[in-house]
Amino acid sequence: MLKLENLHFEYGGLKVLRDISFEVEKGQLCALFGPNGTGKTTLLKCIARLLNYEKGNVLVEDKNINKMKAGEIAKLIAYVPQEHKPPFPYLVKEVILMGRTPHMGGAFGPSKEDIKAAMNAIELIGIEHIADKPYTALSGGQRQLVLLARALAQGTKILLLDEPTSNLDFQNQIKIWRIIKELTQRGISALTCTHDPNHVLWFCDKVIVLGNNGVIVNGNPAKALTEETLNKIYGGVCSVKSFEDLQMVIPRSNGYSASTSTVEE
Amino acid sequence: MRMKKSKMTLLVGALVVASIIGIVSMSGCIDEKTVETPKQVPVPTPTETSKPEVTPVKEEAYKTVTDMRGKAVRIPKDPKRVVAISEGMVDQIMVAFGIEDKIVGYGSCGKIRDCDTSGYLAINDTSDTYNGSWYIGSILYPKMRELPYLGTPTKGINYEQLAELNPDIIIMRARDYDKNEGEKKTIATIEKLGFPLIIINRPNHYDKPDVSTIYKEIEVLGEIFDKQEKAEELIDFLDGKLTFIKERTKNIPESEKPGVLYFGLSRSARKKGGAGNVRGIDSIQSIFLEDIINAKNAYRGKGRVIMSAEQILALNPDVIVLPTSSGFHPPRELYEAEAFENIREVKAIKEKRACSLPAVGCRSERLDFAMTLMIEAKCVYPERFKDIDLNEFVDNYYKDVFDVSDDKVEKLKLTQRLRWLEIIE
Amino acid sequence: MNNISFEHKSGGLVFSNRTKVTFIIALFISLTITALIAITRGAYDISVIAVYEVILDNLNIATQTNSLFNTIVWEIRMPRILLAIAVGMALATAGGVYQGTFRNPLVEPFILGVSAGAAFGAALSIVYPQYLFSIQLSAFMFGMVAVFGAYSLASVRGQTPLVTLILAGVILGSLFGSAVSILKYISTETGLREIVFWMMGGFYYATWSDVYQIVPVVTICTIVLFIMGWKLNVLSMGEEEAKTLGINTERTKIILITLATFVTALSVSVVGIIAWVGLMMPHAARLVIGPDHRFLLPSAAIMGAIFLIICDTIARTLTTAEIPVGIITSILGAPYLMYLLRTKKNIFFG
Repeated sequence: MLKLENLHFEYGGLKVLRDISFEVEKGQLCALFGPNGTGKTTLLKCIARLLNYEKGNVLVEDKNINKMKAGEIAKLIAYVPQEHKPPFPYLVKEVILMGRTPHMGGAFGPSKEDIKAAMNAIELIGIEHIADKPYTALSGGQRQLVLLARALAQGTKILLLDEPTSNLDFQNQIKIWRIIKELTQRGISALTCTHDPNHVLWFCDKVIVLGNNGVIVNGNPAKALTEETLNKIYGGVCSVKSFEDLQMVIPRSNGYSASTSTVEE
Repeated sequence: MRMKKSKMTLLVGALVVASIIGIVSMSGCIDEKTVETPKQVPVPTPTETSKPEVTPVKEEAYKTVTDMRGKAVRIPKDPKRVVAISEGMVDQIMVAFGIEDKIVGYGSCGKIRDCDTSGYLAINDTSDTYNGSWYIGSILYPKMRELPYLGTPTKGINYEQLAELNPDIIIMRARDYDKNEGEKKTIATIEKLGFPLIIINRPNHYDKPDVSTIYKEIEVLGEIFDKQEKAEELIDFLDGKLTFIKERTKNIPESEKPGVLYFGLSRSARKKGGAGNVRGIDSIQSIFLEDIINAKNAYRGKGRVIMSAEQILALNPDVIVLPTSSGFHPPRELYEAEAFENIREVKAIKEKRACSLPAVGCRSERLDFAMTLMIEAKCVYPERFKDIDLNEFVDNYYKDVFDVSDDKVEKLKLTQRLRWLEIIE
Repeated sequence: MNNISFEHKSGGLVFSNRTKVTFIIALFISLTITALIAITRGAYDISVIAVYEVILDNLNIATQTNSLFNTIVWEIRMPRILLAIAVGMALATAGGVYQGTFRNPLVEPFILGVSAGAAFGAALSIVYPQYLFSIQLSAFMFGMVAVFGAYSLASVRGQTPLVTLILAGVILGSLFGSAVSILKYISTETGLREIVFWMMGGFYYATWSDVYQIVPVVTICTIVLFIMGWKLNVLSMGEEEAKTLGINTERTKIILITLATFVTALSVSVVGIIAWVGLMMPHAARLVIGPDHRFLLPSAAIMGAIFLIICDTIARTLTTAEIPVGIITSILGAPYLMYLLRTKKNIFFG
């Protein structure tokens, strides 16, 4: 569904992304994982075309989107930013309706189909009870859900999510991941930035691990997020354990092990 | 490339600003309030008092004159170097006394130089251009153009230049010597420099302006220059004109007094017509109108306000007087130009009772104020002054006050735009 | 504007804009009534019936013969009212557009330097009339120059970050402001007075030719801005988000800022600088009708028109002379906004 080929991105002479290539299949929940500063958000923004990359290709359903216009891309890829508080008190349903913008060809606002799509999104995410409230009056978790609903209303096959749970409490975190998982089970592909390895292990079908030199490993989280991989990026502060049918990352008791090495340059 | 583009824009912007400044400094013909650059001369700082280089003189060479602040000022008996800071009053009086050669420098509301001043009529796009100064002093005393211009009392005098001139006496006509901050500082600084300073007051310094203060100004100058006789002559002459007007207009019952509107039209009025600024009952012009000409100001409010066409129609003055402080508008413009169509129904315009006042520049009561009043009186009460021929009157006035040749009289009339403003033929 | 009401089975969720549309219609009716009342007021006493007779006469529906009445009602009052409507609409719409574009409810149309530029143009034309013949044209041109200067200054690699744009506007505003001071300094007393009067703003010079120049252009531009309401909604959520929702943000910003500046510069060039309207009206409209620009902009525009008619009517009838209309707008406006803020605080702050 989504394919990256040799993506390069530079910022002010500094190479941020080197030769990034990977694929996300249809209906896959793929995590973009790595410590702070490795360029996860940058990569996401490049795919969403918020940043212009120097070299490389991004293909959606085998079509190269490098030269596509913003309007075209918006019908293929939806971007869910981290929740924030805008200055104007739009109602939740109005915010979600904004997701239909790429489909609203005319100048006069949403059509019946657009409204229907918005309604469906609201239902799917389960936020009917707050639909008439001002977006700015919600809690952080609720706002994140609204942004998710908006992306859903956008009706795209691909969702890009930028650390959707970083600012939320534990309950909301689980809730959001579950909803994203459900969405992917309906056929949407999701690429999510996250720096929490447990989330990757618990929810994602695939993980792309980014380090300072590009993709470190790429594949099923259980297989990709081994202790060895984690040591490469975290310098030996944690270990991976199994519990029931889940993997979990927990801190090591002594915090450091002789067999670890520091993150490669 | 884009970076360069915005730098280009910045450069263009800077060039625009620089060229504007360039135009400003090069152009001669705006009445600039420029202050000349001071020459590099060791000059006493305001903190130390110093007398200019003067050989010690005996006491008899000085005398004391009381100026209009009530201050006794010690001045040379025979001042030879005079700096005149006024909007023309002081130098006019000195011309009338015949002693204008004593002026070595002046301060005023604008530098005196020759300019192309154009008049434009909104009827058939008529215009005329006059090359000369905004002020008749340049005709009365042409040398004024070459004398150093020192600035204005409210904004700042070039003290160093002043000191360099080494005057015997400085005569300053103040607006409000005890309240206006700028003037207070100027006075204090001049006095610290150690020069004798005489202050005479403009009529609007006083709570109720009155002509007698103008006479006092002339008297004080008469005393300074030992021209008491000439001063009296001048005062008698001026007062005579006023008395003449008063005589002719006394005993007019309230009901027969026409409502007179001082209607200042700006240049914009030519395109837009109809609205202008109006002077209230507390202005000098209004007070003279009511006291001397014995008429009524149609606008009973105070201050200087803007009135729209409708408000003027509602006011419906009987007579309109056009002062020139905002622009030169002959009455014909009001009667005929399309721009003023909206106010055509005003009584004064319907009955063609509008007239312009002479251009005086920097609106200020000078020795020509009696002439202005006569022109006004004739406008307000044409029947009572039917026998006054303004051509003759003006000619004689200039000659009597300033003692000038016919040739100069013509130039004075031109400078005051008397023909353009349809005051005389 | 869609009049769609969509009832959902599970929650009574409704996407209805009916009340908003009704509100706007009500506003429009108020505007008409206000204008009809305003035209009967004035320094010159004319009976209400006579006033309407003049209007009907000019519309060729009836006849009346008093030419003085005709002059006053049709040549003096009518252009003023029409101009007040146009300028009120222009400034309010521009204010709303700027507030949405800059994502800041405290922004007003003069923020990018258009007023300083226009003042400079007017002053330049007053001091050097031989080079620049029309004060109005000069004011308009330099108003636009100021904003485009700000835009060029802030533009880097095809992107114009908003904070930089505001700063650039402040810089250019200062630049032109100082230039105005220079011009004030070198001008004659007459010129100085004229510059000051021009800057104070007022409708007392309004003529039909102004109306012909301003009203059609302002109407078209504001309607275009109304139509862009939805895009402005999305843009006001955030520029990145707007891009991901398919909006060409740079182009949209340029169009919005250009049109808003255009109508502002036009207004300023004709009637001088009237503050407050562009800040307050969108604010007030947002507190009442919500932030959806499709409804906010028309509401603000009509409210601006009503407000300015009221202020101008007061300015020309309170005393026998004119009061600068900017004074009236501030005296009436500030308490009104304070009141709205207190009573609707929760919606305002979200």
